[in-house]
Amino acid sequence: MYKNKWLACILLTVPFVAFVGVFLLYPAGVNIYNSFFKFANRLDQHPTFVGFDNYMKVFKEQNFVRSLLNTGLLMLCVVVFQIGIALLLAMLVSSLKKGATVFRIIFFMPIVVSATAIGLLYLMFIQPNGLFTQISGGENINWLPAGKPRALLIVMTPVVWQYIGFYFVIFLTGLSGISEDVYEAAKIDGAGRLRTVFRITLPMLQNVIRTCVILAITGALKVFDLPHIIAKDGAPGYETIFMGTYNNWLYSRGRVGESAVYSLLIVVVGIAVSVATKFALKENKDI
Amino acid sequence: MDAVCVEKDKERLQKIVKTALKVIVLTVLVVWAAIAVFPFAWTLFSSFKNRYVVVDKPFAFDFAKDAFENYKKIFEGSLNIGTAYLNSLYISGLVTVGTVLIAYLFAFMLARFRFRGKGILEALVVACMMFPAFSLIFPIVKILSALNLFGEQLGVVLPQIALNLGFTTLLITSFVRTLPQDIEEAAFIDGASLPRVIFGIVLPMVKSAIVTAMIFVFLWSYNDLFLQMLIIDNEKKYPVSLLLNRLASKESGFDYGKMAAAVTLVSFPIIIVYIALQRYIIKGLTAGALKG
Repeated sequence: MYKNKWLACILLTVPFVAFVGVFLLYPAGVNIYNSFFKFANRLDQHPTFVGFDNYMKVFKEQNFVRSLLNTGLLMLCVVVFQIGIALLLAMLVSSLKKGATVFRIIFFMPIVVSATAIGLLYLMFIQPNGLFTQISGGENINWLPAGKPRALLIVMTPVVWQYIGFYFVIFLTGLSGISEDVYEAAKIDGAGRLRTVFRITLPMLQNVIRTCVILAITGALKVFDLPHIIAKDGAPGYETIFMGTYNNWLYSRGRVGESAVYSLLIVVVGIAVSVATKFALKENKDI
Repeated sequence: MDAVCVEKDKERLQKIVKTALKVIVLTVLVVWAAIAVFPFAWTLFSSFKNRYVVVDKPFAFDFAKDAFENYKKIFEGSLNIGTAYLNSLYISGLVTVGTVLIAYLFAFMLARFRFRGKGILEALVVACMMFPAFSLIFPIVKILSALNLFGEQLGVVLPQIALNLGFTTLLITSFVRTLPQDIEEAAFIDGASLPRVIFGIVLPMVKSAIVTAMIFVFLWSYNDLFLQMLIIDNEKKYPVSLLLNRLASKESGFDYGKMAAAVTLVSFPIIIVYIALQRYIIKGLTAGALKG
């Protein structure tokens, strides 16, 4: 129905393709190219070709393994705690007759605030004489001690905390989609509360939970701002380094070639993890 | 007689159990609400205290003689929050308008035109969402240097637009597809031009998707630290997230009073706008998940 169809198509497409091409696809290509070169520093104009050296180097480094393990652990924590707590809260709120809106507004609030701001106020909480120390009743506690799992736990807590409200809202919407009739029928058949949760609510939410697990896991890969503010460069001693912060550390050291390898790896891991989750958690097409 | 009594006791017991359950549920929810709100309330409370008691006496009502001294400090000097606000508004405003405009044009094309090879363009939209900013930063910095935009606010705007295009286009495309085409066709027969159809007829109909997308992009851009941190190097051009980042660096020495005031000034405007527009904002931020 449109005249000059081709001209119109091109004009509507060019801005999108130009932006994506210049700032996403071309950089991704440059990363592949750079991954085979050794750079003396960030401004090096004439890097030397080194084949797969950078790949070998990155995989051998201790911090690389650490960043993968930490990110893996974070993925586990977001699935267990973010999804778990959010699901529990959503079921509790949906059982209320009144007040759901108020809880929804409050629970979602941390998401709109910048991770940088949250990191900064959290930094005040974990000062040796700060709020955490006083609540725990101790004195002069180092909340990011070297060689103990506590540091990692402290850095991951706000990351997990911030997004619980996000999944809560998604679950709440999912729950409101389950028809009252199903619950009525279960009640008449004499099913108790717990039984109703495990036999009706959770199976009916299967697809929503699946979506949330994928979102939470891929979100964990992209975490940067909070760990960067709370524990710069994986303080203490790279123990709390994640994929995002490790890449930044490589880059800020001018290790461009290795950073390129790592950047490629992040994209590959991201795709692999979301494909694996989609495969592991089957979609229920009957709902 | 006895049977009636037992029956009554049973009823009473059931009532007690029901009330107890209700109390437990409400307690859990209120406790979680407190955990969600407490950090922000505490920061607001602490921002009126002297810098030396903010951390050491977190619960004391020990306000500074001049309760606004932290706020005065944060509005002075080279790290000035007033300027940072303006810089953030400039950057995030341009990113929001740019992203949504480009995404809308492309979404209209994807939803309304048919030709061979369109599948590649559709796959491209999904592919755009796979790159975290930190995996592309070095090449992006190089490109910006070549364009003489490194260190400039526009140097943040352009890659931020690119990084948000994938999601925004997906969101708007799926919305345009649900619209009936008859109105556009009628307009064409009456001799309306393509720009007139795109901006005069279809745009008002996709308003809600556009608003949702704008909220998403604005918040993403305003809250972003990573790109801005590696592209902008001049304090005068700092947006708010860089100002916060600077306050968090040990080199400048922690000033907890300033920190509390800055966190308050950065987060509370957003929280207030959020409470006023919560319905749209929650929709804007969860749009992707609910679609999937």
